Amino acid sequence: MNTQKFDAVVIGAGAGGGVAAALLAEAGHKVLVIERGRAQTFADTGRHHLKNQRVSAHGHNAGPDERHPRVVADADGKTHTVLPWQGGYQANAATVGGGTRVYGGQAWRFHPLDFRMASTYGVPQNSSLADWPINYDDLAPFYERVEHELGVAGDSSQMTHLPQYARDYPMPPLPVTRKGNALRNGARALGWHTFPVPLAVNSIPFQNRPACIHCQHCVGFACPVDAKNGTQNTFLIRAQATGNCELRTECMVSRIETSGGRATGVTYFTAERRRVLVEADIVIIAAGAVETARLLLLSNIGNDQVGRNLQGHVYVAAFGRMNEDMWDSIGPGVTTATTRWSHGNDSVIGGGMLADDFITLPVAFWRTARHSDVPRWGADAKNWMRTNYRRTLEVKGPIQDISSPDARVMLDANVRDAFGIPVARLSGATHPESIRTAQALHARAVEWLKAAGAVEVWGEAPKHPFLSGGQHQAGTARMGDNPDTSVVDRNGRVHGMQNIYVADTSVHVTNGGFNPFLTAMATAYRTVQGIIETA
Amino acid sequence: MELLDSHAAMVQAIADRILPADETAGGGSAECMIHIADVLGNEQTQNIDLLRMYLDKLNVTAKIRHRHRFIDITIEQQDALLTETENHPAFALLAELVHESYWASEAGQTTAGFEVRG
Ligand SMILES: Cc1cc2nc3c(=O)[nH]c(=O)nc-3n(C[C@H](O)[C@H](O)[C@H](O)COP(=O)(O)OP(=O)(O)OC[C@H]3O[C@@H](n4cnc5c(N)ncnc54)[C@H](O)[C@@H]3O)c2cc1C
Repeated sequence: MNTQKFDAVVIGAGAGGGVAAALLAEAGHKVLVIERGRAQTFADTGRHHLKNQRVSAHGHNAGPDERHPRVVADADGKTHTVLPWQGGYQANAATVGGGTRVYGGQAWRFHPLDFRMASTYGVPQNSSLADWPINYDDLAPFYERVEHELGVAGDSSQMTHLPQYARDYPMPPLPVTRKGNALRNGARALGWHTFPVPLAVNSIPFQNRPACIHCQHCVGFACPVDAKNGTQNTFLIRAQATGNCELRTECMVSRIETSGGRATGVTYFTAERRRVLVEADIVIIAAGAVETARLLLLSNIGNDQVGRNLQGHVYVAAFGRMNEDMWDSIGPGVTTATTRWSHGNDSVIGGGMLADDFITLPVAFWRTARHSDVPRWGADAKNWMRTNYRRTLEVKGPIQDISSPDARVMLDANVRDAFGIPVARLSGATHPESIRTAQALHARAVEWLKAAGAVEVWGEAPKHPFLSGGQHQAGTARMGDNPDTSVVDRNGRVHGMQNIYVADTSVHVTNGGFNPFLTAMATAYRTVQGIIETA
Repeated sequence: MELLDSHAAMVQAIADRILPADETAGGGSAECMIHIADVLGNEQTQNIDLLRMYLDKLNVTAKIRHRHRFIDITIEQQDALLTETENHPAFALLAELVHESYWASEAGQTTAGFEVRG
């Protein structure tokens, strides 16, 4: 395929972009997918414990690289230019598959009330909390399609916080770990319902790829046997198999070209910084919440809402030392969750899912799981790791972010990336109510660990609002019926533009008390199906 | 920018006190020293002068008190000097580097009990 004219251009080969590419190509549209990262193998993603998408002290293993700085503004307005692995950047990943290449794959449907946050709880002062224009029932069929087409392992009969599934997950859950069993026992003692965490990981051979081998390097890394399901080994493969889809990697889109309320195409730079213009009948932006907002701003598309309401998740984390060895080496590691506290918590807004965690690398454990009384050095420091690493249970959970219009992506007036394009400038913080909710949930995490038999429990609840985009970044082009308070309509189309759609986490009005990728893919599926049906 | 050999030897001795060898290697293992040298030489160049001054001061104190270089005094004497200076930013920097390199290294993973199967 040599043409520079396409039926559709999809910007970003991540979660949402992968879904969009497959559906459009299978419907017979000529599609170009443009991705700034490269396709990565297991070998070149590596297993470096200090350079990965979870511990990025000295770099990432799945991009973005140093050509893509951002500017971060402090509360006092002071700005810092940061590289992708430095504090405040809000990195996800930049490679074929986007975040899904190296993610953990927790494949959550949002709770029905997650779509109704404003009408359930009211809107706190200075917050932009709003309902989605669509609801759980609108998305349920698309959740189901993604679960089956991507490949999710779980047990729908135990998801009692949700309406009954029309079809169970295509694979049974992964095995429970010793840590998971201890937490299940603790929850039982408290009268809390728990269930297996749904994961986009093959528990049995699926779609001609093998089952998970339970290695210890899942989250933040690529899978050694290709048993983790991202768009790079599912939707994007399907798209290319049609012969209708071309994927151009290491190409950085700089602008969506428009004329009279329509997109006419996009301009991008190759790795050699050659500028290329392609024409397209439809443009679908799926560049992740920060870069999607940046592209809209660079292209003068959309209203004053573009880039606002940046959110991710405020996380709670608590740790509990057991008297016995809890390590069983079984990855991915996250097996057991409760949604008992997702909603209905006294005098706070929303709540969140709580669960155990992926296997934590020792270096990550030292950095994030030790309390302030742990000796900083000497034999006691070493012995603390020796006695605690294998015995410690973790309970973690993403708390509903209460959106703030001031948590924001703008264009920086001074700093440009390696292609000469103004970079994203990030500022603001989540609403203080998110912190109150996190504190309430932290108390529940502590309660759970104690009930599970932990003899020592530690970990601090978040205290102060901060900008919470990160790997769960969302909300910067939110969906709504009112063009004054949202960026895209309920069909994912940018208000006022005839043929520009957003199909990634940017459209999330609220980000749920769950990890967000499945909702991004289901929403993208719904949006693109709508495009195909009306084309 | 690189450390002088004498400074590198001191960094190694301090690393071995931050995480002492026992049945597993200590923080001054070859694997850790490669990482520490790499970070100091490439990512933390702005802190090299601070580190050099700290190391020189430690050495001078060792000579005044014990009439030997820091690397030649007993580990008890080394620990005492390090305890006195543990709030120095250069010590904090070293401690951070030693911990991250150690817990990411094979020896550190063994110490913690992180077993890799697959
Ligand atoms: C280590 C890790 C663990 C995670 N674990 C989970 C989990 O367990 N569960 C969960 O729900 N979520 C998880 N996530 C988050 C999840 O990956 C994201 O929510 C999801 O990928 C977001 O999808 P998206 O389509 O919005 O963007 P992305 O998947 O980020 O895709 C955007 C793509 O667009 C590309 N792009 C950006 N700008 C341009 C441009 N100008 N030109 C060309 N290309 C561009 C980017 O390089 C990127 O590849 C994890 C993420 C990471 C990194």
